[in-house]
Amino acid sequence: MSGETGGLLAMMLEPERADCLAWLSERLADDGLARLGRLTLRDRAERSPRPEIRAQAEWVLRCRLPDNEIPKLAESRNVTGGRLQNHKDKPTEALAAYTKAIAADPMFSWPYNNIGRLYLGWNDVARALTWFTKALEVNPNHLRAQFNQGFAAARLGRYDEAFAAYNCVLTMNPTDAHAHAHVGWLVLKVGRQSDGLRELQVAVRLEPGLDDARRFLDAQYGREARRGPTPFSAR
Amino acid sequence: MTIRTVRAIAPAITLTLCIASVDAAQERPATGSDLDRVQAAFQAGRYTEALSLARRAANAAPTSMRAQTARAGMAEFMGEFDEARTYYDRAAALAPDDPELIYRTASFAVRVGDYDRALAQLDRLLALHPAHVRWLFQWAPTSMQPALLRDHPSLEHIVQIRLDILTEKGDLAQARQLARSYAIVKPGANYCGEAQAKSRVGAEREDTFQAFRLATLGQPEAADCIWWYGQWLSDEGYVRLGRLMVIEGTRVTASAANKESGARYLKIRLGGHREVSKRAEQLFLIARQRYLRDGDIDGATRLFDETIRLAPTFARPYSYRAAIAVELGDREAALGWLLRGLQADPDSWRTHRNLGKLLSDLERYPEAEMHLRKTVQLFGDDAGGRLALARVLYAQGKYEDFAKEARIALAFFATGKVSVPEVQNFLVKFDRWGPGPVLPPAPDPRAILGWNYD
Repeated sequence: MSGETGGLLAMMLEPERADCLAWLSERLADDGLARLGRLTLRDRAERSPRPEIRAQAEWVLRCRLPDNEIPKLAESRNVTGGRLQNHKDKPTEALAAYTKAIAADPMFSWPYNNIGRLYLGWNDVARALTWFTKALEVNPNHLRAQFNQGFAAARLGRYDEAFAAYNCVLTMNPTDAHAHAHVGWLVLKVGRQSDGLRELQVAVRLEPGLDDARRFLDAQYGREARRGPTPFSAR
Repeated sequence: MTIRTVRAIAPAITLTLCIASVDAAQERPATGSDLDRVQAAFQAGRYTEALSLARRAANAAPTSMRAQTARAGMAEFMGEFDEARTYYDRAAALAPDDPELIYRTASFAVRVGDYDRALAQLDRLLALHPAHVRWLFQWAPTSMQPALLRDHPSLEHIVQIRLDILTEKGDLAQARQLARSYAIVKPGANYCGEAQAKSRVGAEREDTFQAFRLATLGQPEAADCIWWYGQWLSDEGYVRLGRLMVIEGTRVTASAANKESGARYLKIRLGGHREVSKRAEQLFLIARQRYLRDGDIDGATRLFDETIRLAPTFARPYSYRAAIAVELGDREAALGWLLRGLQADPDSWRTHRNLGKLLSDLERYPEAEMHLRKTVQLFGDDAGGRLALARVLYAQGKYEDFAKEARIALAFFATGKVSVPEVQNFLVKFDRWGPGPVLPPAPDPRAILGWNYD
């Protein structure tokens, strides 16, 4: 039995023990299953016995899922676009699928964001930025579109817009290590050395796997020698 | 040692502060949440707060080994060594045979230079392993050791820490023998070549460092690699091990020029034969991180002062006290700290350099010139220092000298493929139009391993 099936059974049979759904739902959303994700998260937001799970579910509903009920057809076309783009390497066909998804529900922000990602892949950053902005017009709480908007604006050298976008990301998710890191690099680029280093430090604390940032900080400050008394033990 | 015990030790090995262990169930319920808060503050990098929470947790639960250990670990991390010692002792009294605690007290003993105590603790840790494992560890042939160490990671850490201890004690021969007997290094392998290759392709910093460490253990004749390792350690602040490696590299090299270079490095970068105790070295390293990474000026100041008290002839902490004074807006006090640094070690290249640059910032050019001339006299390849000197010369109207120094610096940067276009542009304009009202730029890119930081 898959994790999803188990989670759904738990939701129906033992709702007080179905908190694993809070994490599963994010995975469902990553797979493009917005409708099922919404269903399970709403269940957790209403029925979880643990307040932190309810809060987490509400946050994911707000920032990681569409803010309206998505028609099945729009969801399916967006999923098809995702498969064509990410697994079949057929970006042109993916673009057509995303366009149809938008036609099925113009208020569904995900295909707009995905089209933006397609244009990023084609190195047409200006057009990508336009699509990320459209996604945010449809759903201002779309966290990933917000992040992508920052990324594209930074690539175009439009630093004020990039900062504004990343700040929105960090308002929505203060522990977003990647957003902190991107802000850090950007701040360094505009010459605010100490602010940039601070942001990178926050990023690395949140996500120790951010190797570029960690290497950069180590080069600036030396190793974090407090971890052990010898060069070997401080690794 | 059981798998469960190994699991308990592993986090302590990877992170000095490890609070959550499996054996928590018997303890007071309040302690868990207190320690969770310590852990959360630590992971978020709020170290001062983590220490304060750990103190509260330990006071609230004096019979909790975990709470006492957490306070000790946090105090150690922050360089509060007396406090760490007190609370490790209290924790040890509560759980004398806890393997994690034994490992951590061994590690702490290394931290404060009590190597014999550390070795004794490692022996105790070894004694907790099952008899057959101990037997294999002690008597099995070298060919069997890699599998044994792989199956018992705590054994590998015991070996590695022993290697570091022996090396720091200056017994490189025994360290090399130990490394060979546990197959940490293998005969005939070209670790130095691998390390140099990693360095050339810009591999992960830690990987490169580990490769050079193996070269020093496995190839006693590899002077260049031993020398590289020594310079890297010196930059990072591991001045004791750095000094030993530089001395060893200098001893082993066949080149007279390299011998001269090694002796010079020892004199102007490592304080000659001025001794720095392990405790002082570690306080310096921790103070540096508290200042640079945490922005904890008060904590860092206290630790730098303690370092200076313990090792008054160690020049590097004086430079950091000066940097802190500058940051607090007191440049006169900063001058005072740098002058004290030079009294402590008149041949400290970096202190002359920092003093010259600060005097230049204060527009006290003749004094700045004196110290910057000394800087490049001590270390002729210091292109950044030479550009600082060139700027000071220009400020005094010594234009020919300026151009000469700037060109030497540019030529040096060019050999290392370091680009300083602002200086090149300035020189082009200077050559064409003569001196102008604006002082030349004096960038200071990092160009040579072993001469960075501070």
